[in-house]
Amino acid sequence: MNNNLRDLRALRGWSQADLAEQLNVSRQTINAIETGRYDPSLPLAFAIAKLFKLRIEEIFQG
Amino acid sequence: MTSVARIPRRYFVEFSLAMSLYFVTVIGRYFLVRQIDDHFLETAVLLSPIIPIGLIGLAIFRFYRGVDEFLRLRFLKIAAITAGVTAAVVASWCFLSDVGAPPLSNFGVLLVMAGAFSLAGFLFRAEDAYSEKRIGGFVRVINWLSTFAFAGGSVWLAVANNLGQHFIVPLAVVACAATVSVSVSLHIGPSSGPL
Repeated sequence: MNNNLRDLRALRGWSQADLAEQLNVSRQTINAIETGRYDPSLPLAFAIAKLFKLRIEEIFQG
Repeated sequence: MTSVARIPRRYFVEFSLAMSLYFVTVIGRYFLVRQIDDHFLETAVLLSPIIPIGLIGLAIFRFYRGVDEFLRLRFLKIAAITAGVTAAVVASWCFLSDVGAPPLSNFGVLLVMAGAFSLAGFLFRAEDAYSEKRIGGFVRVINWLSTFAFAGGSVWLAVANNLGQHFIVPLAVVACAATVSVSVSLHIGPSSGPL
């Protein structure tokens, strides 16, 4: 699954650690999602979408 | 609720303390038991390493409960790899026993497990580092080397112990490598702990 999490994060000037802290996940998890090595669960995807005030499909593409 | 970023550090502290207590009880019981006449007390001292083993299990359980979904999945993958490698080694050793190799002791199995867990964890950490293009770095290299030394030392210790050879040197290697690995991991900061 593709995503534009890295671009969205960079747009806000957040580091991976900043984003990880806001979502209460590890930095490794953010890195794995951004590099496409891990697809987040639905609850985590919702949390990401809520944080960026976007719809899930605007962040994750099949 | 503890932040996920703090979980690896908490794990290292809890695990290191429990592991230290384990070594103290394993070594100390031989000295203590000679000076005890009471049978009940002697039994209690001989069984004392079970307590830190329980604490090690508790530290791992608390780590698993505390981390996020990605690290939980990774932990389960590493556990599966560890189980597979251990099963393969133990099964292979059974056949080696048929042609004269001494049977693998329980302690030997434990060491093979520790080495396999360490190596599997290293491979995942290497994957992380590669994806982040930060394989370089003196501290990280030291971390990797100590992990390899721990894994290799564990196997060496298992073989030496199993063959009835002197195992002070491999034991020292394992202890030093584990200490360096844990210290460097703590220094690196909020990493993913044993994963």
